[in-house]
Amino acid sequence: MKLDSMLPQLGEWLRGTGPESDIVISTRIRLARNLADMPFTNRAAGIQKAEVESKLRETIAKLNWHSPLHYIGMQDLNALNRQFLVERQLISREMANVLEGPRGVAFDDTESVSLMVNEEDQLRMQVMRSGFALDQAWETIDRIDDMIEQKVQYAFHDQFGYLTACPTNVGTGMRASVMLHLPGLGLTKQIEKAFKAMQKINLVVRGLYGEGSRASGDFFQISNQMTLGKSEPEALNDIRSLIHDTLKYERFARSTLLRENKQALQDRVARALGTLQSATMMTSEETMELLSAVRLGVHMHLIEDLTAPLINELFLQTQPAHLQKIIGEALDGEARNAARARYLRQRLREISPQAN
Amino acid sequence: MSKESLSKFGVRPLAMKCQFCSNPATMHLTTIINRKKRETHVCDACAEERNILPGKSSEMPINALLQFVLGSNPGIEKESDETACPECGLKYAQFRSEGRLGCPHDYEVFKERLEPLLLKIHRSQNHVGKVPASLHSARQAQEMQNFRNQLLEAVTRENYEEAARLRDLIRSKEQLDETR
Repeated sequence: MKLDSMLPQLGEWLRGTGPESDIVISTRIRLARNLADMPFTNRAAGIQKAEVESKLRETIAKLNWHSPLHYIGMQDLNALNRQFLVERQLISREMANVLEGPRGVAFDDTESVSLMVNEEDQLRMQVMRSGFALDQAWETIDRIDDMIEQKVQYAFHDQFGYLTACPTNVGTGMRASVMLHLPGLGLTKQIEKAFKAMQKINLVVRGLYGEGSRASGDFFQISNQMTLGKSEPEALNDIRSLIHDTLKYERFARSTLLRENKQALQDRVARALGTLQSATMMTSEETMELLSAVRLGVHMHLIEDLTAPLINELFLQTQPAHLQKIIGEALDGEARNAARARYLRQRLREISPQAN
Repeated sequence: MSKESLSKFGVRPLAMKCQFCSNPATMHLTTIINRKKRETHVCDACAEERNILPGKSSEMPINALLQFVLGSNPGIEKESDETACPECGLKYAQFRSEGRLGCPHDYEVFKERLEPLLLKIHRSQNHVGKVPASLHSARQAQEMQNFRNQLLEAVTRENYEEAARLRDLIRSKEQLDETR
């Protein structure tokens, strides 16, 4: 499979549709699994890693899934292409940067299913959905897990459940994350309060690109922390009820802003769009902040020509690896900032010519 | 899990400045050495230049959390740290420093030391949730066999009331399996 052919398309999770999609960007559930009687990836010898890889690759290839799953070995990808897959959330940063030895990823055409082999755990399955769709994501991943489990024997312990390399994942091995866009709470300075509430019930708040990444542009990922002592549906319910509350607060903040500060809000949105349309240097950080403001403007009907999927597209295409692939050459930081600004100017001119 | 350790996942004010230059800080690292917490705030460029990123690993905060929990685990005895798993050779001391177990057997080998750790991380030591289908049916078969043994025993003891209860229980379970 040629990765370049994926460049113009958006994964299912970035379609900008689905329940509550004015606030919830996407839902993701992953399961961590290991094979019985095999050392975990970090301690496996090369030959054992190769054995695990070939076994899981074969199992995945024979999986009777309704759409084909493409398997790519990491050794066949250069750093840029690995980063490209990170930006599309198909592999983790750890997969792209850290681990040695035979490893790979399988994903479908819609990019809603991805199966990583020989990551920190031998199998990390992930299902992504656009909008707030915990149940659908769980049903899908549960089914894939069942299908794979018919072919291989997972490491499972009566007391501890599914065994994982890191004890923070043991039990269900399930991490469910919902990615939220919360500019209203950001602007009304209530975001810290919301985070405190989340942390109190042991949910974790992270930036867009998972653990270790900073939240920028008011995009946040909320995930369950505990994987032992709660069933999968119970853990999903915890997240669900908290997200419902968060949605309520965010909507309230947005309507308050519209009622009490409409002009200031309009100005903020228009300035963000103006900067994106005319700047000559643009970091990915700033792009994210500005696109965040524009996205808010789209959902609050303060901007007419732009749509949520388009914002998502710009957001994805301006990431470093995507940008370099679009331009067709490797660029250093400064050159990237110039190319990013040029790309944004051009795309926004195509879409909204009268705005210029 | 303490509030303090969780706060590492929290998001800090956006306006924080990089400690090395005046750009806005984009990374906020918390390191805990000898139980002393140190916070570092840096921008992308300085983090890369000074190589302060912990291997750009996506697992950084989880690692930090784990180290925090491991570091504060009381009653650590040097001797048992040296016990090695017969399957993968991992010593508990290695797990303490790396934060990763070596193989499925480690959970049994280090069970006694892992239990309090799991309690701290998850507030539980027991899995509740999905069970592999193969184990699920094996467990059911075992359970049915136990009921049959109890039934036989009840009949032998001429406790017909108990025997009838067990017979009905077995029948209803069998019917349930058939409808599945």
